[in-house]
Amino acid sequence: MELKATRSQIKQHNHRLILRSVYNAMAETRVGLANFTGLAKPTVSEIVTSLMEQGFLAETGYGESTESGGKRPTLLRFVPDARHVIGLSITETGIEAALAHLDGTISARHSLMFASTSVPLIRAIRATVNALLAQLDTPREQPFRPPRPLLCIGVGVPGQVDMAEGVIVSSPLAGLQEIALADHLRVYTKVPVYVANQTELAARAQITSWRGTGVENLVMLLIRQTIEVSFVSGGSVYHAGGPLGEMRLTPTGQSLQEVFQYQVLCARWSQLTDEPLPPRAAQDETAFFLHIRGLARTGHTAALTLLQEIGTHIAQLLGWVVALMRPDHITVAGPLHNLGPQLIEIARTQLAAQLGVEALPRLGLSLVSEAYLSARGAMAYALEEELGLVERGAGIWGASNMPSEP
Amino acid sequence: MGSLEHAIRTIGVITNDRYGDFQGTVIKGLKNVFEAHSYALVIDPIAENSAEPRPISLNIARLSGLIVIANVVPDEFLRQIHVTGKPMELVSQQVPDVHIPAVMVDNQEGFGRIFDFLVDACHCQRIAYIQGDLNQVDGRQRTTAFIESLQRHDLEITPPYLLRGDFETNIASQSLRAFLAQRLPFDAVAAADYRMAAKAIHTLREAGYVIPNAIRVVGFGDGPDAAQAGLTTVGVDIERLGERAAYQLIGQMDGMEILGTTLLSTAILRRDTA
Repeated sequence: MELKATRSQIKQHNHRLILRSVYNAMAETRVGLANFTGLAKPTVSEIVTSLMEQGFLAETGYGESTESGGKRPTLLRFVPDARHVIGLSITETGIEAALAHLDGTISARHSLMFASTSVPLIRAIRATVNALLAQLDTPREQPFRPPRPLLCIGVGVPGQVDMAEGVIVSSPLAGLQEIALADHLRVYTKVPVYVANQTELAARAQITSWRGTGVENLVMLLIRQTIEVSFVSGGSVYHAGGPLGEMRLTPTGQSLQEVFQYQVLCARWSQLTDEPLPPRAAQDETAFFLHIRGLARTGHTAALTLLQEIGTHIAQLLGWVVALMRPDHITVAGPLHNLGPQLIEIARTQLAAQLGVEALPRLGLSLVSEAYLSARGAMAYALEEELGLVERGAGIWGASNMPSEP
Repeated sequence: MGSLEHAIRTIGVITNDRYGDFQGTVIKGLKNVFEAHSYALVIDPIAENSAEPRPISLNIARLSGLIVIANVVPDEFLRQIHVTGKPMELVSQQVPDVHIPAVMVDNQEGFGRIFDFLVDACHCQRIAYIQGDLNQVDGRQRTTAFIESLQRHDLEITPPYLLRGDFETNIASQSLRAFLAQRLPFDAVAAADYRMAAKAIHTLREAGYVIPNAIRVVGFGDGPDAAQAGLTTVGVDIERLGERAAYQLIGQMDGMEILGTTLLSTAILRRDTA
C-alpha cells in the first residue's frame, strides 16, 4: 500500500525544514532558503511569514545585493527566546528540572528532593513543573508583557517507557506501572509532553555533544540507585533501555544494585578498615567517593581495595557489552564519577584481562556526572519532536558536565 | 505589635539589611515584579542592628505572602508560618525537612566553573579560600563546592588554606594577613563573595604581591567593587534572583503548589585578576 503524506504533514515538514535551516545557519534569506531547501520561493515566503508571526524568526537587516545588482535581501534570524522548553529527570532521590530557551540556554534549574517531601510522585512532578512555569521569563524591560509561552516538556524516567504514547510501562521508581505521564502533564500544562527512558536521554545528550568527534557507537552506563544501560549505534539511540540492577554477576550472588549502593560501599569500607569516615563522608555520597578518591591517590590500602572492587564490578558488567557491540566509547554516569580517573584505569585493566588487550585499543572510557544530563536530554528530545531542532548541538547539550573530547 | 502593612495586596519581606549589596539588589528585583503586579511591598529589616535584633513587626496574618531573605529568622519560625498555609518564598535559604519553595544561586555550578578555570586554565595548585558566613546556606554551600572542586582536581586541602571571612571585608582582610604571615606557598586566592575578593586584592597588593602574575584572585557575585577592582568572578544576576522569587510567590498566591529549590545559573566574568 502506498502511503501519502497529508497536506498538514507536508506543511509541518516544510515549516520545520525552514526553521531548522535558519537555526543551523544554512541560509539567512528567503532566496537562500529556497535554494537550500528546494522549496518554491512563494512557499518559502509564506512559511517565513508564518514563522515570524509565531515569533520563531525575525528580520535583522539587509544583506549584500548580488553582483548583478537588485534589491538587497532581508536577513532572517532564529529567535531563541521565542519559547521556553522544560526538561525533567525523575530519579529515585528526587526530580531535577531545567528551563531553557530554544537554543538550549538554561535560565534556571530546579530540584526537589524526595527526602524533603512526602507528597505523591505525580503531585511532586506537577509542583516541580509549577516552579518553572511560574518563572517563564518576562523581559525585564517589559514587565507587563505576558511571559513567553512554553513550547513543550520532556521527561526522563528510569525503567521501560512507551515513547510513542508517553507511558511509563514499568519503572523501579515507586513501583510505577502503566502510567500515562505524558497525557497527565499534557492535560495539566496544555503543551505537548514527551517521555523517555532517562538513560537513553542522557546518551542522546552525550552523543549529540560529541557530534563530529567520530564517536558513533556509545554505551551509557548509568549507576545510581538503579542501574541502566543505553546504546547509541550509528549515532541513533537504541530504544530498549531499562534497569539492570537485579542482575547477579558477582561471585557472591549480590545484585548489581546492591554492589554499587552507597550504603553497601560504606559498610564494605568498615569491613576493610577500622578507620572511621569523616562525618560528611559518612552521610553524603559525593563526599564519600571524593574521600575514597583522595585516599586512594595516596596509596591507602583500604581505599585502593574498594576502588579495585568497584572497578572490577564495572568491568564485569561491561565485558559482554564490549564483546558484543564493540562501542567506540563507554561512559559511566552517576555519583561514581567522583572516584575519578583511577576508577576508569582499573575498569580498563579488568576489561583487558577479560577480553584481551586487542579488544580495547580504540575503546574510549569516561566518567560523567549525571546531574541534569537526562533533563538536558529530555529537553533536546522534546525540541526535536516538536520543531525538529537538534543539529546544532549547542546549549542544551552544554558540555559543563562532559569531557570536551571523548 | 506595630503594624507596617497598609494594603490588602501586600507582600512582607524579612531581611537583615535592606541596604546591603545582596539584600538591596534582591529587593530591587522583588519590586520590579510585585509593583508590576500591583502588590505593595513592606520590608521588615528585623536585624539591621545585629547587636539588638528586634521582634518581627509584620502582621503576617494580613499579608498576601512573605519573602524571607537569607538566614535572618530561625527555621522554627518559618516552620510555624509554613503550617498556616501562608504563601512564602525563601531567598538563599533552605529549611531542612520542610518544603518551603526557595530560590538560590547555583553555588556548586558557579564555583565548580571558576575552580575548573583556575586549575585547568591558570594552572593554580595552591588556592587559599576566604569563606563566607558558615551560618548561611550560601556560605556553607560555597565552602563545600570549593572543597569538592579541589578534590575532583586531586589537589590537597589543608586547614591553613581555609580562611575565615564571614562575608565581612574586615574579617577577610585580617584572615588573609594572618595567612600571609605564615608564608605558606599559594598561587591563588578565592573568596566566597566579590566584596571580600576585592578587599583581598587590596590586601595582597599592600603586601607586595603582583596580581595576576604572581597571585590570581577570584570571587563570587558581581558589583561595582568587583568591576572597579577588575575582579574575575562568578557572575550572578541577583536582581533576577529577586524577580524569580517574586514570580514563584505570585504563582503560589495564584494557587500553584510549588515545591523544591530553584537554582539560578551563573557565568564566569573574566576580568584582570585571573
